[in-house]
Order: sequence, then C-alpha cells, then structure tokens
Amino acid sequence: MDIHIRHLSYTYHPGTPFEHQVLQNVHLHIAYGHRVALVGRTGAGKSTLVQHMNGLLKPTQGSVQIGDVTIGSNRRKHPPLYKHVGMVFQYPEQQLFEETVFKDVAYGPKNLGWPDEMVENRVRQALTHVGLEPRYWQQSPFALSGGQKRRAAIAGILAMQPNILILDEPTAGLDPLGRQKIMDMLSEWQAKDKRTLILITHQMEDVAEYTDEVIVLHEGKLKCQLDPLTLFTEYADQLQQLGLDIPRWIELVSCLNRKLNPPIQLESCKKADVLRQVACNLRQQRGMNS
Amino acid sequence: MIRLDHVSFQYQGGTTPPEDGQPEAIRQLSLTIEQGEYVTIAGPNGSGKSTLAKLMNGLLLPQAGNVFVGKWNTRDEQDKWDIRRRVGLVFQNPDHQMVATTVLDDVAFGMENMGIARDQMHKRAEQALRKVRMWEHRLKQPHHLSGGEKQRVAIAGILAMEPEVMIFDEPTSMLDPDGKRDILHIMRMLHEEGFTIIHITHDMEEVLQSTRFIVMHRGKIVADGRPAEILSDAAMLAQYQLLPPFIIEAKETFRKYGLFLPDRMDNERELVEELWTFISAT
Repeated sequence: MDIHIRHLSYTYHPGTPFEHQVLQNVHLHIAYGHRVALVGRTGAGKSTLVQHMNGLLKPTQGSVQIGDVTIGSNRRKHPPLYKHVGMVFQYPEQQLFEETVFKDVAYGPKNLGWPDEMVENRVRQALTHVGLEPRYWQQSPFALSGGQKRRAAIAGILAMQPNILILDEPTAGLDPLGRQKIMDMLSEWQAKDKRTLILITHQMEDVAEYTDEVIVLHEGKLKCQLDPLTLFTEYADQLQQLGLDIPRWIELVSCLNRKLNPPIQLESCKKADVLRQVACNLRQQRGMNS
Repeated sequence: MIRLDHVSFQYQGGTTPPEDGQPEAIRQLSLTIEQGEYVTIAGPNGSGKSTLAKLMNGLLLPQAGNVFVGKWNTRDEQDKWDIRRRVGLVFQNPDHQMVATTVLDDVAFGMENMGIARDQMHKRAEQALRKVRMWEHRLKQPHHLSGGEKQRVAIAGILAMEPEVMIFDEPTSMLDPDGKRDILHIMRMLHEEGFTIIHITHDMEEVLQSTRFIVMHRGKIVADGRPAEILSDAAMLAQYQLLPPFIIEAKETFRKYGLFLPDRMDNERELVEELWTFISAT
C-alpha cells in the first residue's frame, strides 16, 4: 500500500481575505513498509500533509493516492481510508472517553463492524503490545498515569490494525524513559508485519534512531526526501538553516572531523553505532589494537 | 529567597499513597532556594513538579507546612499579589498565556492589573520586549507568532512585573528546535543578570545549564546537588524514568572502549578537545 502524493497544493479559506496556502506543489512517494519521519518547523505544513493521507482534507490541487484509492480536488466520493490509515494526533490521551480502558480501545475496531470475538482479540493484542497489563483493562482510563494514558490511546489505533500508522509527536511531554519505551514499542510494531510508520517529530534523535527515510518540509514546500544518514552528514548546514537540529552524536563527529585525517565516514546514524565507530577510529589513530 | 518547610499538598480525590502518575501530591517536602541559583527539577510524569511550582508562588496553598517567599508566607492573603509579582510563572503551552490582541498589550496586561502609571508601563514593556528580542514585533497579533515567539512574549509579560524569581514549567516541550534554543538562551541570560531561575524539564540536556539539579519522585525530593554529579548516576536516573544526557553517555561509552578521558567535562566542546588531545598524544 504505497502513498503517492502528486503535485499537492492546499489552501485554507480560498477566495477569502484569510486565504492561506499551506502546501505548495508537494510531490512524493512513500513505499509500503518504510519508517518515515516528517520534519519541519512549526507551520511548515506537516499536519496538513498527513491529514490528506487519511482523507481528512481534500487537495485544493493535485492528488493523493493511498493503495488503489485516489483522492483528487474534485467532489467525487472515495472509499473510506480509516480502515487502512490510522492517525494518532498530538496529546491523544485528551480524547479518551470510555468507562474502561478496554472499552476505549475497542471503540475503533467496533466501528469497523468486526465481530465481537475478533474485536476482543485485537484489543487484547493491542493492549499487550503497548505494555498495559490486564490489571488496568477494566479501570477507568482517567485513573491511568500520563504515560499509560498515552499508551491506551495509541492502542486504540493499533487495534484497528492499520497498514499505515501516522503519529504526530507521540512522545511530547513524556518523561525520558517513557519516551524511549513508546518509540521502542512503535518500532517493534512496525518491524513485526513491516507496515508503514510515519512520524511527525521535532526530535532529531528519534529520527536518527528509528526511521529510514526523512521528509523535510519548509514553508509548505518539499525540501528533500532522504535517508537520515545522508541528511545529517551531507546536508547538516542546510538543515540548521531551516531551524532544525542534527543529533548530538552526529554533531560530535562533524566537530572531530575538522581535525581528523582521514575523517570518520559514518556507516550508521544510530547513537550506539556512531559512538562505537568513533571509539574504534580513535583507538586506531592512537595506534591501539582494535 | 524561597523556603518550603514540611509542605504537604494533595489534590481532592487524590489517592493515598500516591502511585506514579496519579494527581501530583507533595509530601512533607522541605527545600530552600537561594537568590541567584539556577535550579532544574525533573522526575517522572506525576511526581509533583508542577504542583511544587504552583506552591512556590502561592497559586496553590499548602495543606500542611509553610512556603516563604522572602519574608512573606504564601498563606497571608494580603501579601498574595506581592508574592505573585516577585515569583513569575511561565507555563508549557504558550497559547494558554496570550490574553490581548497585540504583543504590546499582552505585556501591558499584568502591569495594568497592578495599577502602574502609563508612562512607566510603556517604559517597562519596551525594556522587557527588547530583552526577549520581540520589540520589533510589538504590534503583531499573538496568533501570528510562532510557538517560540509566543513564549518569548509570555516571558516579557513577566519581566515587566520586575520579578526576582522566574519559574519555567517545561517551557520548551511544545516548541520546535529553533524556538527551544531561543528560550534556553534567554533563560541563561536571565540567570547571568541575577534572576533566580527554577526550571522544570524532562530534557536532561537542559539540566546541564543549571547550577543545581533536583530529582522528584512521588512528591518527595530524592536527589539534590550538582547536575554533572547526579546525571552521572545512570542507575539512579533509570529508577526515576530519567536518562543521562548525551555527553555523559558518550564519556561512559568511550571509557568502555579503553579511551581514558578526564572526569571533568561538562559540554560537548570540552569532550571534542579531550578526544583530540587523546589521539595527538602518541
């Protein structure tokens, strides 16, 4: 289930004094099974772009194709996308509402019209996957901690087993270990069936650690679509000019490289890999056995 | 400057004993913060950090114990406005802090409530807005600003009240990297100017710019000391849902690979220099 965005433009309030073009001729392809980060400053158009991917917005110009469903700027009806594209908004725990955690997670799958037994199975699987133990299932979602609420809300989308999962800043506001656990959990979910994971984030550390493709938006335009290693090593200056960061461990390497001959050529942008490569390289330079 | 003496606070309907993440309670907490300190406070979600912040400027009152700001007790109703002026509070979400239709009016809002004379008000607003580099945007409407710019205006609004202590409750967690850098820079600058800074954060990199670090857990202080020292204790950090900042993790990893580096390195520039020294000393 590939995603094809073709020459997509989107204008809010067209033909009024408040007219505002948020996306301008965005053209890109996301192959099925990729782990994609969508980055850019506030107002770059990230949220508007992903809202086209689950049919919440219709293009002003151009088209969006998800699998074999195409949405253009015309008024023609299209088959619903919510069965295939799951969307987790920012602070999703604000949308919890049911009496129990289990019922809350079951809400989406039930609306897909699945038989009861199947719904229950999927809900159990999803809750187990996000790490919420059975003792919480019959509790009110409001009695959970912040991190647990976030997990329950994500479970509600996972239970629908979307082929494409889109999350807008899924770790914002969580404590450091809670953040890491959510990212590990999402990464496992993606690896299990090789579905598509799309992540809107400001955390370049997470981009380096968990994704294999980065889409950079700036003022409504597509700047580039690259693997994170190339982006962080070859386009670091441009990235910083756009107001974005590069991960600290990659910054460390670019500082070291100013005095290293030959420079360290990174093979991966993941933190553990980078630190290992730097350590081995420095040992060699020093003439220590590796 | 601020002194908490055996302070307890519990939200109505809160559970006892509190579990992680349940409504934030404070239990028998004592703490003194001196003038000019830059204190960061971290801990798991629900450990009581935000409650502590609100107790420090009288937005919440303790159910047991006392909170003193200078010589004032936050329990004394007649000193309430004096205390809130001296201890300014900047919140996480800048959208919740904008009240007026222009940046300038927004900064003036707090002073109007204090009944400050007009010419004085204008002078202070200008000073505050220049300090956060938002003076040239003074006639803009707040909703046209980025998150980082809104947060700068919120800071100016508090500066205009001429506080002595500024409390920041996760001021950067909703900002993009650019906005985040700006706010952190302003906080360092204010500290250098002599303001007492109290900074609640989940970001261990931010802790490195403070002079004192406090870890909270279930309404109590479980660590209090020099940031570099506490942040080096990975086992303790993990116990409280925290992770060491990159510089400390990098040092540890390099040591495991047999690169012997000196202990005192507090930032990445120093680390790079040590690594250079390491390879050139053959």
